[in-house]
Amino acid sequence: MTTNAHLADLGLAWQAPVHGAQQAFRALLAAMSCPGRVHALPAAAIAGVEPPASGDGRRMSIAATAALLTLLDAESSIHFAGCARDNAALAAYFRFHCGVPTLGLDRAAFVHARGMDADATLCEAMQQGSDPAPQDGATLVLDIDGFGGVDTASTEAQQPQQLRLRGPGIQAETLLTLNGSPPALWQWRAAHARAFPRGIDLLLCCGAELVAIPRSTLLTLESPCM
Amino acid sequence: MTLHATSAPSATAAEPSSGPRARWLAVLAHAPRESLARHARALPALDFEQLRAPETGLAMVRGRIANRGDRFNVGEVTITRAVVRHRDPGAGAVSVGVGYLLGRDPERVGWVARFDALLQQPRWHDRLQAELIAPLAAETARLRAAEQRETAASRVRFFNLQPDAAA
Repeated sequence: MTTNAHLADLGLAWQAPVHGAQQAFRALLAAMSCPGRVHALPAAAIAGVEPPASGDGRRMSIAATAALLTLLDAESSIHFAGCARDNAALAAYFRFHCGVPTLGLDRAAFVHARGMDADATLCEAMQQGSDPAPQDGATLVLDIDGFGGVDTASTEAQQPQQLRLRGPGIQAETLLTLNGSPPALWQWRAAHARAFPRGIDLLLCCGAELVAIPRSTLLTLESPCM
Repeated sequence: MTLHATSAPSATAAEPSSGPRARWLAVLAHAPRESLARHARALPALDFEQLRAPETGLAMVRGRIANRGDRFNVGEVTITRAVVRHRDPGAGAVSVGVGYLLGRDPERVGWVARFDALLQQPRWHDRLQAELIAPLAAETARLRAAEQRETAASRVRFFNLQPDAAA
């Protein structure tokens, strides 16, 4: 009798699920309330969490894993950008711990992607919500390379992305520097802000840190200029 | 928390509901608590990883009148469930055991999950089938038969309505 291969290697979720989920939820609330600021998840929000890995061996960040464990349940839905075969282990992990089904990109309430895979096409295909039901807009959880750019960038592809953010939760404006996201994503997002209250919400994750950019935030891409 | 049938580990989805695993899970679920505890205490110390620590929630029970017709919601029941993983120290075989029981008994559901994991291991399967499942099944059958005998003794026969019962 063989055990399902995914169950044999399945990572664990929180050691203390209730406490872990509450601490993670508080951090997410703080991040959404103060957009553009880097928030570090407290130890209790990640204690015991073993992030799943996709077929190419790359693990989800612990911040993205904890955030999705907190937000997903059997009445929600998730889509993992990329090849379905590569993401089978990711889908199995959240299916086990949260009971969440995997849906297509155009129907999922949550979408997870690696930084450079999140271009305008992906964002455009996600659910944007409608004026009477803006809450139907999806949330994009993005695993990027880091916050706070490196000054010495050799090629344009490696240049950090600098964003200027204004709006609810930001006193005047915030400058946010990212590594590993496509400039096209921010161009799309900057142009799409006029569709508010329709749109998508963004959760940028790296390691145990995350930044939230809700659809209410106005942003411009300072550099690289395209 | 409401449980949904779809959240059960997908390992069981491929097996028919009348297979050997389903049979031993049924025996374990119906086993009297004291017998299960006695067998659990007799086990040597083994390593089990808790994929899902025992948790209690609600599940909707569905039924059909006389097993025919449309399904409807009978009501919600309290269920406790747990999932454990066991790696055999010698052969390295990995098995995942589940326990789903009516009621709130985290200790008992932990025993069921552990036995389910061990029964899927070649090292333990035959021994546990003989020393655990067979005696538990026999004990449950004995209790059921005794209950049925007791109930049958109180059966009322209507001689007028059932001429064949007049014997």
